[in-house]
This record gives sequence, structure tokens and C-alpha cells, in this order.
Amino acid sequence: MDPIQILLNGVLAPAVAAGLLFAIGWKAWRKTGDEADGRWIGSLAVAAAFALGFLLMLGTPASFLPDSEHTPTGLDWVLWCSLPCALLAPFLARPGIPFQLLRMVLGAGLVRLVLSSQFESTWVGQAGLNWLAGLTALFLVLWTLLERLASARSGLHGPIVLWLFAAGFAILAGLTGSAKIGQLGGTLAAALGAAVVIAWRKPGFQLAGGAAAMVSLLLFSLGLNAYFYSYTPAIDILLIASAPLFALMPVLLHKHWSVTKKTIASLALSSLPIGIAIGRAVVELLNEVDEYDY
Amino acid sequence: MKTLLIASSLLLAGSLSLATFNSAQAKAPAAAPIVPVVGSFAVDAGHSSVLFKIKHKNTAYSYGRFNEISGTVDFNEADPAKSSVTVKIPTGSVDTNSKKRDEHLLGPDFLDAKQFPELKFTSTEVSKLGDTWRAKGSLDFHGTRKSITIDFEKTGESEGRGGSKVLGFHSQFTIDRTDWGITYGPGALGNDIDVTVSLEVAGQ
Repeated sequence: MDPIQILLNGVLAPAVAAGLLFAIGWKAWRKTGDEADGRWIGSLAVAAAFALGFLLMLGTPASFLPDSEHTPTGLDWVLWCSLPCALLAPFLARPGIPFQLLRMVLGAGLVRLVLSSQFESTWVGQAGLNWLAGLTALFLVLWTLLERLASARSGLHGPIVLWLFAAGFAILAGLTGSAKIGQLGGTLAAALGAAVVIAWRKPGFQLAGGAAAMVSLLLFSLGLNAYFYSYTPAIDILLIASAPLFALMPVLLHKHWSVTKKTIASLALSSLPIGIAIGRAVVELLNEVDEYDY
Repeated sequence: MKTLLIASSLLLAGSLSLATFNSAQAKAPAAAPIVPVVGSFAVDAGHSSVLFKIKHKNTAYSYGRFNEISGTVDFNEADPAKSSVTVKIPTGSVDTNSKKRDEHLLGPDFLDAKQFPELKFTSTEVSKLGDTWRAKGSLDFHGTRKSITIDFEKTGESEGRGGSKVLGFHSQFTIDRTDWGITYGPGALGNDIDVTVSLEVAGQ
């Protein structure tokens, strides 16, 4: 697929789809005054944009039905998991212990499915349980951080910070071994780019509730693929994963700052670990003596 | 008289030599009849090769190989239908003479070696058509199982170190990588992969 096709299929089409759905959701929310209306369509917008980009770039994912001659890959599972989660995410984003427990179940299911081959061949017995518990906990931490960022302020802050994470991850994954994962990260960034445009035009727009949950799920599961099935170094994954913490600092520590000031500070701080991770990947690439291309 | 005696002696000696030669010839064993090979054999990885080529930018062929192989062959020349073949190739052993490219090939864009560490052919039916053998079976590759028919020839047989029978086989066939879900880089790389397999198998 040439670069123009990748841009059309993996960026433009998902961005338009997400933008339309975000706009519909925002209008519904504004019209009824019920925040929940916007939440439902927010998670659907992110999931639909991701699914569209996936189908246009990579084709139909392998079926998980028992009689299929194909075995779904970790990336196929990201798409399969994203569709039911798009419906569940706004529900699970609610506060309360029962919803927290359901989040945990969702996270464990996601980890188990995306890393099926690891659990079936490498992590047997107690090791499997340890990995499942550890990765589920990491997923819940990421979800909580992104949800906190998305709900901290309305307007550009949430969408643009989330966009930065997705774009940073996409570049890193593309540079460190898998164009496919990079392109899917780019599709997620495109969907969030549409949210940035809407938030810029309509400052009351928010990604909290459903959309941030979907972004957490997609970023986390793509990250699992990049680390466990590709060659993205652990240190770079951790640097990108730490970016939400940096972005939250101005929100938590400088409550008196204006939204614009907080947004700029969040972007600047979270750019540090993302920039270091991408910089490391670029240096690695430039130092590579064994050159090839397709 | 003396001349006659010498001539007679020479004639006698010649006759005896000829008789001895004829007798020796008569006692030599007849050429061994061709015995059909029947037995179980294991793939000798050190003397077997799996090569492949794929067209780059519709211009020239790039070659690669898998450096590891294992498997078994139940060979029955008397009754080819009783033969079977299983060949396993670790996808992690791919080698295209470029470390960076090999790393990319092993990732999710191509072989996805961490998720699908093995490429396996298992025959379900073996037959013989003249000098050519045909194995129908399934090829498990990249998480996809598809039926495939492979023609091969028996290239020779010899005796191994311990006196066991050693056989050689050779096959060339083409697969469409997209049938096995490897769709990355459609413009840059051809879909067809031409595969050459040369097996040396030793009796078990």
C-alpha cells in the first residue's frame, strides 16, 4: 500500500468517521443536556474509526470461531475486543466498586485474548496468572489516568493530550519493527485528531466517559502487541506509558492555572518521555548499518 | 616335435585360463533386483534445505532460507498410498542475509514468529505418478491451515554411517502468501513465494 493510500485509508477515512460521530454525539448531549448521550457515541466514534482504518488497511481479521481455518493474531483480537467494549465502555466508566470489578474482568479478558499465544505456549500455570494480574493492573492504571485527563477540563486539553499519546505511540511502533501496529496507532491518532478539531470549535466537548476508555483499551492492547509480538523495546513502551503521569502534573499541582496554561504545560511535560522514546528509536535507526527497504 | 609340444602347452594353458575365467563369470552374483524402499525416516537437518524467493518491486527475486528443519517421512515405495510426510520449520530460523530485514520478517507484518513459531506441512495423501510423487496435505503457516498439493521427486538413495538407508527428495512449489494472511507490502513484494525443499532423510 503506497503512502497516499495509507493516508486515505488509515488517517483521513477514520478521522472523517470519528468526526461525524463525535459531532452527532456532542449535538445530542447539548440538546438533551444529558452527559451520558455524548459518552455512548464517544466510545462508538473511536471504535468505529479504528475498525474502519483496520478493515481498509489490513482487511478482514481472522475469525475466532472454532471451525475457522485461521487463528486470530494479537492485532485481530484488538479489533474483536474493541467492538463489544465500545458498547460497554460508557457503562464501565461509571464510579463504584461493581463497575471497577467489571473493568477488571474486561481488562483480564483483553489481556488473555490479545496475548493468547503467550498464555498457551509460554506462560503456563502460576506464571500465566502472574502475567494476567500484572498486565490487568497496568491496564486499569492507564484507564484511570486517561479518564482523569479527559475529565480534568473540557475543551482542547483532554483530546490534544490523548492525541499526543496515540501519535507518539504510532511513530514509535512504526520505527521499532511493525508498520502494521504503527498504522493502527495512526488510525487511533486520526480519530483523536477529529476530536481535537471538534473541541477547538466547541469548547464544551469532552472525551470523558466512553471515549477515553476506548482510547485506553486500544492504546494498551496495541502496546501489548508492540512489546510482546514486535520488537519495540520495553524502555520505550514505558516512556510512552509514563506520559499521562507527566500530563496530569499541571492538572493536579497547579489547580489555579488557566485551562490554556495547563494544556500547554501538559503537552510540554508529556512530550518529554514521548520525545525521548522516539529519539531513541530514530538514533537506533540511523545507526543501523544493515539497511534494506521494500 | 619340440615346437608342437610348446604350441600344445600354450593352447592348453589358454584353454584353462579361459575355462577359469568363464567359471568365475558364471559364479559372479547376478545384479541385485530393485527392492522397493519401505520404512520410517527422520529428516537430516544438516543435509536438508528450505529456500524461498519472492519478487521485490516486480523487478528482481530476493532469496531467503530457513536454517532449521525437522520432520519424518514414512516412505513406502511398494505401496505409495501408505507413505506420509511431516515437515516442521521454526519460523524464527528465517535468514535473508540482512539482520534488520529478518527482524522485520519475524514481526507482525510478516511471519509473526512469536505468535506462530512453527511452519508445518502434514500430508494426508501420498501418491505416485510415474517418476513423480505427490503429497496432498495441510500447510499450517501464520496461524492459517490450508490444503496444498506438493509434487516431489526421489533424487537418490544411499547408505548412512550406521548402515541405515538414506533417501533424498526434492520439491519446488509456489504458494500465495495472502492465502495465509500475510498481506503486508502488496506493491513492494509479490504475493507468490517460490519454495524449494531438498530433504535428506535417514532410516530410523
